[in-house]
Amino acid sequence: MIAFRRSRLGIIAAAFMLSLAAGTLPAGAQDTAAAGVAGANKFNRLMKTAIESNAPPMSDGIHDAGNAGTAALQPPKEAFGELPKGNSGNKVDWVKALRSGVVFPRVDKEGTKAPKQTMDMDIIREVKGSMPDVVYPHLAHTEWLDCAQCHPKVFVPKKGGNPISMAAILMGQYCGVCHGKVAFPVSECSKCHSKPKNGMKPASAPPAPPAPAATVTPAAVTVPPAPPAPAAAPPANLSKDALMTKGKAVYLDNCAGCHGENGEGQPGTFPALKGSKVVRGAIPNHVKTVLQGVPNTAMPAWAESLSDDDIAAVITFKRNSWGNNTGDVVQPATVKAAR
Amino acid sequence: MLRRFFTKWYVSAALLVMAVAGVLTLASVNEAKAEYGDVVINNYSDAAGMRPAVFPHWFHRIRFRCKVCHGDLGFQFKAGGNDITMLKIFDGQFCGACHNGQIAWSVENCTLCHSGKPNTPTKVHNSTIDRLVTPPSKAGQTPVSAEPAGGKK
Repeated sequence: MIAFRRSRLGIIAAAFMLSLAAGTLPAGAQDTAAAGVAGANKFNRLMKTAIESNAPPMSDGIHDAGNAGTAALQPPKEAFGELPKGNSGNKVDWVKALRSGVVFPRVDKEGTKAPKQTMDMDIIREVKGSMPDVVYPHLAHTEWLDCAQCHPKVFVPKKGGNPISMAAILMGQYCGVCHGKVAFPVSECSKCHSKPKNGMKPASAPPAPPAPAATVTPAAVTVPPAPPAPAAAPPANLSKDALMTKGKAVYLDNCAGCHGENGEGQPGTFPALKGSKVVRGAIPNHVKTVLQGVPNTAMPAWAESLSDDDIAAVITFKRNSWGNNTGDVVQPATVKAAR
Repeated sequence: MLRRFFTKWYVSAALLVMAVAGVLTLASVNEAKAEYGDVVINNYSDAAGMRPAVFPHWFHRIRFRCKVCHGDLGFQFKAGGNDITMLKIFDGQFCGACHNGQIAWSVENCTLCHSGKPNTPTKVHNSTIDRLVTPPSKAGQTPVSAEPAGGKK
C-alpha cells in the first residue's frame, strides 16, 4: 500500500517537473535541451529565452487575454505580412517599407499634408578602436522626423558637444532615445558602423556611401568645459578685428554645422545666413534670435552656453561676412543688456 | 473506463499541478514575447482599478510618421513621461488628438487601450535595456553630466 502511495506522489512530482520544463524552454529548443543538463548547470542559464517574434496580443505576455478588447486588436503578423523583412526588432525593415510605398504614414494627423523636403546629408563619425566608423544618414531620419525632435535636445548642435558612446546609447541617450526601443536595436551593429577604417577590409557591412558631406570629430571622452560665465564687471569694448577673429571661431564651432561654413545653410532645412533678413536686419532682433533661439525649430537658445563676448563676436562676424556688409559692430555690452 | 481514470484523485491532482506550474512559468517567460516597441503605461491605471494601457508603436508607425506624435502632438520620448490622464485625452490632448471618433475610434472603447495585464510596469517592452541580463542601477541610468536628451519632463 505504501509503495503504491509513493508511486502516486511520484506521478505528481514528475508531472510538476515536466510542466516546469515545458514552460521554461523556448518552443524550438525543447527537443535538444530536454536531453541536456538541467538545474544549476543548465545551458544558457542567464540568457532570456528566444523570442517568438510578433506574438498575437492574446499571448504576448503583456495583454490581458481576459480583457474584452484584446481579441479585437490586430496581431502584428497580420500587419507585417506585406512589409519588407528585417532582422530584429519588429522584424520589419521600416525604412524600406516607407521608401517602397508599402506603407504611407501620414505627415500630419489629418493626413492632408504632403511630406516635407528631406535632408540628404551623411555625418561620418570616427570611432575609437577597430569598429568601422559610423555613417549617420540624415535622409532616413528626416523621412520620419522633423529636425526639432532631435535638435537641439537630443543632439546638441555644438562641435564635440555630444559624447556619444555605446554605453550612453544602451542607457537610452542619444541614438538610444529611439534605437533599442522602437527603431532597430543596437544589436544591428553594421547598420551604423558601416564605413571601414582606412586600410581595413569591409566586413559584412553594407558599402559605405561615397564622399562624406560632413565630418564630425571623434567622440570626445570628456564633456567640453562649460563656457566661462559672463564677467561681473561691465565688459570692455573690443575692436572689430578682435570680434571678427573670435566670431569666426565661435561660428565654426557652434553654427556652421547647420548654417554652413560659408553661411549657405541647407536649402529647405536650415536657413542661409548669407543675405538673411535677420542677419542684415535690426541688431536687437538678431541678438534676440541668437540668445533665445526660434521656438519649434532646430535653432536653440544660446544664452546659456555662450558668453556675452562669444555672442557679440559671432553676431559681428555674421553681419560682416559673405556679403552681409552691414559694417555693424556689436559689443558684449549690447548682448548683456539684451539678456 | 476514462471516467474511472479521471476520478482517481492522484490523476486529477497531477493535472492540476501541471496546469498551475505551466501557468506560473509561462507568465515569467511570456513578457519576452511582447512586440518590440509596445509601451505599457501604468501611471494611474492600477490604482484606478483599470487595466494598464498598452500602446502599440508598430501599429501607429504604419499610419503616422514619428513627427506627428513626437512633434505635433508633443509626446516626449519617455515611456510614462507624458503624464497622460483621461481628462487630457477628453480635452483633445495626447491620444485624444486623434482618438476622438473622427480620425480614430473614440475614448468610449476603454478596453482597446486598457488591455494590459494588471501590475505590468510602465516601460517600453522588449527594449534593449529590458533584455540586459543585469538591470542597470538607477544611479547609472541618468548621469547628470550627460543628460542632454531632456529626458526629464
